[in-house]
Amino acid sequence: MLAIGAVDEFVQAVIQGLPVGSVYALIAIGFTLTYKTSGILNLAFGAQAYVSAATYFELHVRREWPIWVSLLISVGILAPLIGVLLNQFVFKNLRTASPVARLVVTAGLMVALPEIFKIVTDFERESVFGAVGIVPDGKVFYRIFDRYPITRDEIVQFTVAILGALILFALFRFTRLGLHMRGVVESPRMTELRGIDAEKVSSFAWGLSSLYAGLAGVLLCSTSITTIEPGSFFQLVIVAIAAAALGKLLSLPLALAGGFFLGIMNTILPTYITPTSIIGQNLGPSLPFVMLFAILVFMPGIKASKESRDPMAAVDPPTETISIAQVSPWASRIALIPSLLMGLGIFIWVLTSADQFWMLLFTEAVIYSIIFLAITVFTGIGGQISLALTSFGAIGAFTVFQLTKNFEMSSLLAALIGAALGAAIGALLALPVLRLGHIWLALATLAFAFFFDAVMVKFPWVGPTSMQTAEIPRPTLGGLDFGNDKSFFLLCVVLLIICSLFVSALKRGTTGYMLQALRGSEVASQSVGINPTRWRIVAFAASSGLAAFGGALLVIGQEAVNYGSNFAPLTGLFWLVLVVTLASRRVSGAVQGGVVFRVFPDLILIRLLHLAPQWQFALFGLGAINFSKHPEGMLEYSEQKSVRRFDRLIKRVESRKQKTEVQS
Amino acid sequence: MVAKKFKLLSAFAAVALIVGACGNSGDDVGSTETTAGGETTTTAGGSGGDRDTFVSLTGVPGVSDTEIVAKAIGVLSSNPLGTNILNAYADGVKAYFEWRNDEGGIYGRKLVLDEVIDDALAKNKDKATEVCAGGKTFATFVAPLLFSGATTLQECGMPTFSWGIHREPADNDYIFPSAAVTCQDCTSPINPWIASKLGVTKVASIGYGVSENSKVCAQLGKKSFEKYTPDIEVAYFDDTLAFGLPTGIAPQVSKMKEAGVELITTCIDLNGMKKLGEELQKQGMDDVIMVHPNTYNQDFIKANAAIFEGDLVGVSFVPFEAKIESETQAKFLEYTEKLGLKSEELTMVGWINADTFFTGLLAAGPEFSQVGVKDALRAITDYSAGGLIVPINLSTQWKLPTAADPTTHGYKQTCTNTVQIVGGVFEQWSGEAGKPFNCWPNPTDALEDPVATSFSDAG
Repeated sequence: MLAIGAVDEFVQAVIQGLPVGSVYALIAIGFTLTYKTSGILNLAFGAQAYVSAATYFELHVRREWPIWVSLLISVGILAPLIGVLLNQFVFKNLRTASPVARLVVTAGLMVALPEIFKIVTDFERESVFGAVGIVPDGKVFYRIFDRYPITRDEIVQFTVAILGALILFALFRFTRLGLHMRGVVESPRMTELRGIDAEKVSSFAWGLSSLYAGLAGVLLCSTSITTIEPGSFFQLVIVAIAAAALGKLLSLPLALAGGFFLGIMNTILPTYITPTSIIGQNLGPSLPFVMLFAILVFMPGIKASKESRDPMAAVDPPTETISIAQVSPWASRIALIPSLLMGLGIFIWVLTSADQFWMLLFTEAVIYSIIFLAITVFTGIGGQISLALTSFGAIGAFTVFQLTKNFEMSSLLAALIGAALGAAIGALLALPVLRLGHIWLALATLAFAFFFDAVMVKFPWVGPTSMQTAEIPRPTLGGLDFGNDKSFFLLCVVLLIICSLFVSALKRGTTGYMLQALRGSEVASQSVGINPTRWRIVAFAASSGLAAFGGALLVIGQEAVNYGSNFAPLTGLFWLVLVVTLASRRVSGAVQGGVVFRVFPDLILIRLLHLAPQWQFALFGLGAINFSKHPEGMLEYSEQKSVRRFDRLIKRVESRKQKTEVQS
Repeated sequence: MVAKKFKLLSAFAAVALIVGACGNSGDDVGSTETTAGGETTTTAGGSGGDRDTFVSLTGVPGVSDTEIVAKAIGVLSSNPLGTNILNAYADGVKAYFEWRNDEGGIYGRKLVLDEVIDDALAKNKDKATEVCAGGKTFATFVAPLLFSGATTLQECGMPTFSWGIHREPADNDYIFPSAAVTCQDCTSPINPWIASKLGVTKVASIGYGVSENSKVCAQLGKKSFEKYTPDIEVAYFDDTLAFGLPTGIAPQVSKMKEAGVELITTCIDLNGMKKLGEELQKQGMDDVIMVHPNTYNQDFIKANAAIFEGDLVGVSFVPFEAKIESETQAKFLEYTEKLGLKSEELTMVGWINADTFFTGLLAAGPEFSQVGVKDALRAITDYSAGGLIVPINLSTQWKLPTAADPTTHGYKQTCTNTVQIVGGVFEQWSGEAGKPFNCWPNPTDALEDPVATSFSDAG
């Protein structure tokens, strides 16, 4: 009897896990399809799913159109159309782009697509009526073996996941089109030499993957999503990435299996483990992230599966960049003058005329500049991507909270300790993940960020609980009291200058040269004795330390720990996209990023243009898309144009001078 | 800027509020007596003097000879709950102002809500700072999910009236929530009494793990049963659920079924409740009653009538379905109808906040100022918004009460106002006709029958 009971319990847990597994599998398949047919880790997959889901909801639930019409429009027409348009206007330009560029553009789209959709359609989310599936009476259930209930919606979801995988598997395995799709990813030029229209194939691939995204979005609404809101979709995508990673983002059967495995584990765990146990409390909410991290760190061959290079990529000319080395050094200096004057003007205005509000914005702009220097170090100089910056920011913030509350330590000293702790944890995290590189490293750090968010934040020895007062005192230093806003602003400016000098020294010193060499060619660097692990650990630790220091200053400035407002995992993605889009290779890029992040929305968008908040995100995304054309960063690009202008001017003056001299 | 976006994190923060509801129906209350402990009790709206007296004021932010200007800040975009918060809340404030302005305003001025500001979830502090720095606002009404601007509003001396689900008003005497900050480690007789009344012997207590508030609420729920009704077994307990139950709740419901649970007390949001209800139906547990903390939403209940039939919902004010002798309630219904507004929970919260503001103005007198309004309100010892809420002693209940001392800064009574879902609509369940609250003295050591109460004769 006991054995029967145990089997019964297990079967029940497995069956209960299938619907959730279907959800994960469906997204994992779609995600894998995108990567397989474009070579792009499409973070915008959730946004595409959202657009179709919202459209279906609007048509079927609000306007009460028939299911099939709503489905046809939202999934059959709109979704592929979005895919084709994205390919035509965005992804086509990314074929030879770096992994950083690809990630940045998709992250930008992730933010922009839903907001553009909302602006265009005036769609407002609504949770209270919920969404419905694609079959009538989807909540009607049947009993498997007369015992285990499963609803119509869940049956449809399960069936679509299996059929979707089978269809794609057959497409790639047995059709020429599937072969062409894979070929275009490897080398569009090579496939074109065989008379294949790479453009058409690529468009078809994007249309197909977008259709899967749309289908997944609509189906998710019937079982998993309670609020038609972009964040909900993206969270599920992050979870499904763990499933897709099982197949190295390339294998559809493994992605399918990974999805179902995760879903079933989600029900196995609470079935067999007491929820209040340590494992129950921590592994349950973090399972997908732990699994993703484990796959990336331990699965053999992940590193070897790094994105392949098109042997004919050189056929496409690189994006035009301006060679600073060829211009007069005076041109660079003169071009800096307007920026310096503007910075000085703002500094004086803030100190003399800014009210409390603008003081807050500019102080936080300075603090965010320090945080963004972390991106300058690891992405700008190191050429790698970390999506765990918010976690390190939170580590700094929590350190300040614990030390000031429990030991009454000076908050500035606590911030420095927080920075050191952040650097140490960064170095530890770097050990297993840095060998991965590029998107795998980005995913590993993203998994860490979500793990930190789901598990670590809850511990009372980490952050404040809701029972605690999370107030942070402003610092004093010797006889100096930084309690008022103006003096704290000045302190932050001084700290920014120190941090900037540190990063500049890092860039121009041995570490910078080593990282640049590694960025150029890891193999060549190793052949001349450069140890990539060592130097990247240094970079990651420095980057993490800076983020932690900035996070600490942020909560000191706000005089409270607001984890939710400041350090949510996806915020880090936004930070990265913003800084990279502007200019990640320069210290000034971080400073400009801080100002754009903190001041631009209120000053330009709200005060001058009177735009709704959605526009901020839409414009941000469009900026990221533009990044595909200017991988050096928009600000750096425009700065280089200025330098060139001044260079031409100087050369003209010199030429006239020479002429005059010759004539005389 | 974006943090906003996902704060998804969002989910994280959102939940913080969700469980304010644990306190929603469990407020401890003030006495309806006009005296307490030998001290003279100041009744709301008592002292101010002639409401029509005009005195020209200078140097008072947001006050001109014709208007008293207020602003509303709250979450509109990036709201992970997807519910109507800011607009409904602002509607309530506007409706109240409309009523008072129709009566001629106050001190020769009209009440004006001149701006409704979206804090996009994560920018509450920014917006609060902006309002303070602008110097053109007399009072602020706030309905955020993340109340990061509380300290800012306090420090700039701005009378602030807030949705009573946050902890931030504690220790900030310029902030007046719609329900007083409540003890975060105190047990409550409410759910044990509900279980006893229903005659159940096995219950479950569940909450989200991502939110400390929700977690603590679930834990206190369990402790409350153990304290007040030891004969009722907490047969299932889980304070680790994922926000919104994105992966369902099937195995947990199976465990509850196996344990013979008859009643589930929850600390989760209305979307989570829907998923829980659907799973209960799937597993043949339709007859299990759920106690909802956050589901006082008529449209939602109507749309999900079958799932929630027979369930109980705690409400932090006198529900629209329970009529009491209260001008404030009558005017709410009249003005929401007149202005074509939907009567939603947040609309009533906005209305109550506006009433607190008006009460403060009245009490401060015609030569009012921001600090004057604050001080006048802090002298009121039994404010009940015309009987809509359990009376708050505004002079003491701005600090957190504790389990060790639940009375000094706590309500004098613990009250519940519970409605039942029947055929897709709410019906009053607690109290009796005209007396919707059920109350116990605070603290209560043993479970006794509560007293049906109305506070419509309070301030």
